[in-house]
Amino acid sequence: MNRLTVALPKGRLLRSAMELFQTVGADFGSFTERSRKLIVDDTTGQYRFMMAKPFDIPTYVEYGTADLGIVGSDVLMEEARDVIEPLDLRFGECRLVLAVPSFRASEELARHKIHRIATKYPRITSRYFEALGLQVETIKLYGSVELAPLSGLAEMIVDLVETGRTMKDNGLVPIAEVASSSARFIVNRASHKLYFDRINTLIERLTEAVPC
Amino acid sequence: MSTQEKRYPERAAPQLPSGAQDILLHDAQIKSEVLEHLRSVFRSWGYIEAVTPTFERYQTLLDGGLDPASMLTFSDCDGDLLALRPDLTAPIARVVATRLRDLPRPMRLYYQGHIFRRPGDDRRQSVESAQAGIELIGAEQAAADAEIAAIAVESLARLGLKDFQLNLGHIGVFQGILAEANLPGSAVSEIKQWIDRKDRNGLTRCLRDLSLTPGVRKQLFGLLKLSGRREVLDQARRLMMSKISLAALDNLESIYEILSDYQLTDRIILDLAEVRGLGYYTGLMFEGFSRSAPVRILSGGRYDTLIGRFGLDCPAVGCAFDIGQIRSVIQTNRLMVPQQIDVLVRCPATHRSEALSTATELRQQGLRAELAVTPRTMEETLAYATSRGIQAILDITADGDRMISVARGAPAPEPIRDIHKGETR
Repeated sequence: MNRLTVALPKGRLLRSAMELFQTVGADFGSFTERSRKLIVDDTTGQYRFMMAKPFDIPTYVEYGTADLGIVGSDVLMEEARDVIEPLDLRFGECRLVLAVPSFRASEELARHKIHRIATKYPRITSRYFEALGLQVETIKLYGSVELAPLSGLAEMIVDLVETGRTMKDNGLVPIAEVASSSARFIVNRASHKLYFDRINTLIERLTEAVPC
Repeated sequence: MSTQEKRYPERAAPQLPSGAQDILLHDAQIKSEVLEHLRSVFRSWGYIEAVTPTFERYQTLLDGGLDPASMLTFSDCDGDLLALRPDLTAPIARVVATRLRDLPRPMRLYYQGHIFRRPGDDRRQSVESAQAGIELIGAEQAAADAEIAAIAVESLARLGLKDFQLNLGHIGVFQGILAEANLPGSAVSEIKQWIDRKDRNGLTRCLRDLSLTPGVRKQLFGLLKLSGRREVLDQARRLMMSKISLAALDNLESIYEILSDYQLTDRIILDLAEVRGLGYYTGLMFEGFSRSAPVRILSGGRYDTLIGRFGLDCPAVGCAFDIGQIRSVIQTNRLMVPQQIDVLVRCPATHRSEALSTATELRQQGLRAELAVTPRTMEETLAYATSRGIQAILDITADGDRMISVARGAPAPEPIRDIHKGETR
């Protein structure tokens, strides 16, 4: 039986993702989340794990380089790749919020103005404001988004909050929830057809392992 | 080389528009070989070629049920809106309903050509892609559906593909579940979207909001697991409640029966969970998958109302092969070897006539023979032949002919005499 290739997200979701696969029988051997190896073969022979940047995971799965993947729904919404998303894994829960510097918290979003918003999620941000009927200019950043309103690059940000510490420490207050996010199990479309029984059994076992 | 190639480094190299691709060298060779194989299978089943224009009136394509967002449009001198075809079946349906309407049916047509689809906003797909396909027109019987599926399987097998399968579904199964629920179109497309992603959580939330009966809910969730061999039909019969769904299952079973007479069922998966498909499908829907391709390599189905939209009420079933995907499966698995030049014929000017007739003779024997048209030393000729992967050089001289085999990757002219086969006529 060939191995199913699984793309796992480096970073905050990795530990839970590995634990989840351990509960369904995968064995990572000596690999830990601090290891630098990028490809790890499960010692039971069922899986091959690839450690990738979260934003790249939908790409690996859509192109079939990985049959399966685990990634936050924030990334899935932003990347809009054509993959199957059979399961909400209910860990790594966090929110995407619109935040402003605290001194502007009382200002209203104005229809006549074009607001500048810095974010790692330009697609989600544009969709959100389009739905509100507001025009915005989104500025794509790759990290430390909180810096943008402090430095004057943008008026507001759309970013992920788990605890809210970073925002608070930088004098930002959330004024609206744009989306909520949690880890998802995703599957390549062709793999889902070609290994239907194996993947469906895995989905069922993962479903049992996921707290309700 | 008497004239040196001139280069203009100061001029920027011309760029392709995004979404366009050149297909060159081995890729082009394999592509045309794939098309040749497919054509010969199609013809052997009695299909004849139909060629339609690359562009059509925009309205024709809209009438054909195609997505306006996918079309690349432009206008003609009268201001009529035109579009590059995003699909080859709608144009075939137009032709059948108009110019071929008086021909006896069933009619079997095949086509090959390029389709054009506007890429998504991230521009990662290519705009132009090659397709070939077949349409069996004027027969509503399961035997027609089975014939198309059988040709699909035979074609892939003849191309040398090993790990492939055909997933068969039926649009009526899903339609039947929702038929009695009387939902607005927006709700149906939302349900379809969750089923398409197999997102159980999303489907749960969506159904909760729609206050559907537990029966409908059970059928929709059951649908997600209905994929496998023949037993899927019985599982589905126990689950489905509407007449439409049950009729669809009967139809699928008849098609499956015929495919088992074709002895092809080891390639067939019954896949009722698939709700994706072009807007014009009315019955059987199928897709072909290979383990070496991340997406489907062919798709097809029954479209009994499409030709009617162009004025001729006539059932039809067909399928289209994605040539680009098939080519990449073939190349990944090295199923076809790109053809090399067998022999390079070189001669001094004094022996040209003899060289030309020798080359003709070689070609008549089925070899690929290339003529040396530029004056080169033997050393240069060997280097050229090596770099081109040419198998042998036929050196015609005043002292007679000799065939020199070009050892791969051995550019040194030194051992000519050693590898000289001494083949003189």
